[in-house]
Amino acid sequence: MNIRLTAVDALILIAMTFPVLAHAGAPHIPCEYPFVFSEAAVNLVVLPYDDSAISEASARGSGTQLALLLQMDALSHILGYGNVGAIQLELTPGDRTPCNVDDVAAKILGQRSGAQTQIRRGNGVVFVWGLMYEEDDDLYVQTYARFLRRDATEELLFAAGEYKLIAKPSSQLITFAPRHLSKKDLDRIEAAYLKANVVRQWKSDSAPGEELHGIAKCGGCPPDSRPDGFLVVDRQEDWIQIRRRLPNGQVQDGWIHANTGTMDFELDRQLPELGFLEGTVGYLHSRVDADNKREPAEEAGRLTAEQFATFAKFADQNNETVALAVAEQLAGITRMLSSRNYLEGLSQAQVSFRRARQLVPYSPDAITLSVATELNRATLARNAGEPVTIENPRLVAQQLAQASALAPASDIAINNLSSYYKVARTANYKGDAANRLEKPEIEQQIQRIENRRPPAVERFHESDTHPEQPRTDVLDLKKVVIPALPQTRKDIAPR
Amino acid sequence: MKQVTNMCCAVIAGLMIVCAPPCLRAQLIDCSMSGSAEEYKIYVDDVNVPPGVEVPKVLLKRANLLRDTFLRDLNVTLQDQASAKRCLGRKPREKSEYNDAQINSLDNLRVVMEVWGAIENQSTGEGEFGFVLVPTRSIAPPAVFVVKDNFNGKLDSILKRNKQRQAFAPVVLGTRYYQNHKYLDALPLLCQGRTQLQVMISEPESDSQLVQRGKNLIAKLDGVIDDSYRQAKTSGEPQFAALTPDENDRYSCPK
Repeated sequence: MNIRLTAVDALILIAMTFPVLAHAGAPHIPCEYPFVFSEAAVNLVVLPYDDSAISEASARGSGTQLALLLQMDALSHILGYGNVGAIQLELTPGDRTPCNVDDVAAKILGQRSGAQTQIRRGNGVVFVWGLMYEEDDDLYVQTYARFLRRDATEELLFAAGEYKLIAKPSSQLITFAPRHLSKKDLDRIEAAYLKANVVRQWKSDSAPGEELHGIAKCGGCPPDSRPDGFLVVDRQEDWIQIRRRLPNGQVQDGWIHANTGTMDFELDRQLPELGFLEGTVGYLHSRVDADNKREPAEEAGRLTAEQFATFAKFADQNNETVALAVAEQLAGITRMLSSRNYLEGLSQAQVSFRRARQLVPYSPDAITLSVATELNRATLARNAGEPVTIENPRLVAQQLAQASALAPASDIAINNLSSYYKVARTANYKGDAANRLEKPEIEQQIQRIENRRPPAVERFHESDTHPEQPRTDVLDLKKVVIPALPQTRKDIAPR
Repeated sequence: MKQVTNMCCAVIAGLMIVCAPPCLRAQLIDCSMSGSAEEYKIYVDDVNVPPGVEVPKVLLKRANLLRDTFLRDLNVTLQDQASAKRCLGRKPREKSEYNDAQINSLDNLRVVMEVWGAIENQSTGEGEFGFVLVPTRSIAPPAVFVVKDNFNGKLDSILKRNKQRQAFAPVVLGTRYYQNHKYLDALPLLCQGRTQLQVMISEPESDSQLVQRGKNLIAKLDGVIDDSYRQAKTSGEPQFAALTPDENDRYSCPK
């Protein structure tokens, strides 16, 4: 019996054959029926760049080619995390419906039917999309990204005294600054695309090879003649060893020359968002580990920090401040979660959080992340039996009050303020005398918050109420024991 | 009698020919994407070109690209706060078309901002971007904010300036909430808009008129922000009780 597999069957078969993926890549997946590696902790899903503004003669599907190149380049950089997948979606020839990120996300997150496979609950995904424009010798690229974990919150719990503050990154939706490349770069993209798209028998550009497959290169091919996807089983320098399943069911190993930027096209430098995307995969990976009660590897945290640092180095400092701030926050969180020495990781994270706050001073999340980690540090820094010491407690109260003022619909923000006052009630103070908080004032503020009515706001700002989604308690994960707190007033009150 | 009728027709026809261009210029057609009555809207109009001349394709492509990226970026960043609408065929000839009646009409439709691009000189590429900041007309009149630019310039610089001009969106939305006495909703947008506006006018290549008007708008916004904090304090929301004015007795956004 001659059993022929469709591309979909074979992808599913691959996922079943290799349930514990090291890394996985699947180029050329149709937008209409998106596919992800469900087992992978994080998938990077790259949609074709909208290149409809490129002149017909020179276009040659550059948007799709760029997407493949991004996927390949990113994949080569995220291998260090393990258990990750990279997917490149593209339009089927003749399909005039644009590849829409909301449609793709709804399908692979199980909100709508149509996906070949879905992101598993708790696992992460980064969506990348954008547009390209070409004019004479110039090429302009604009990229967008969104990251999330399915049915999971990005909120973290930070112990402050005997209370916990909740904080999260400022945004999960990023608009990068426009980038300018030359036409030569476009040609290099084409050349790099061809290299990236060839599976060679051994790791040499001169080794015999064949294209993975390609809609752009194979218009009109019958669907079942196309290869079906591949797993990455190893990486050696710029080469990725892949194992692919052919339509006839055979398994074949080969090598792909990824990260061709080191040779002739420095994609990382010209499209620094790649560093952001790779770092975001590392961040999500660390959060998936943390949710599964696994401490993320310190090496992985270091890699994430390096990738975000690469982004920050080449980013447009004035025109993508939200991206820069979120990069600082994600790098800081990952460092904190992965560092073997928690206090050392926390210290590095605090520097990142402060920089993020300077970049987006209007972000309530940036304020909270910065303040919560400072209180967390103060909680850990004291000796057993001693109260927390807060520097300039009035200023801290004002910062958390500003965070709440800038997030008026957030119960979390006002609860953070309440928790802070409760910590301050029994704390020691240091700093400027004018910035002290007196006990009656603290009691009055706590009373005000407890008597508070639900806020009268017109808009619903944020999804901060997901009681069913557990938050990562940072100290629990790091198994850091808080030095004993002094007995509360209630405990020592005379009977 | 027939001669008189013919003469009248000729006169009327002549008047129509003479009047037609200015009459047409004065008319702004409705936006093709009206949106719902409840949502706040930003209209993004078609690109205007000088009448009767052939504009180089590259200029038109650039202008359309700028319009499309502006529209796309706004819809990504605003999310559920407002909806950016592409208005096919709608293009003001000149800013004087935005008289009180026109702005009131936009206001009634919950349109907080209208944006257009115009190529004024097809040879040099000189042109402008217009921003009708509907809610700010009462705090920093006039409502129309025109920014000169050159469509023949370095495209990456134009794209960056185009992105920076999105700062107007949180400014108008925040001002609208402020005017609706929704001080709690107004503050996050006002603070975001103020920060972004400051970045926009700090750009070395910024149009000098834009810088001057931007500074003026920021000064007025500071007053609105101060008043929003004061009004919010009277709402009884406890977080505002913890906030105190600075040494100049002014409330301001976090820095």
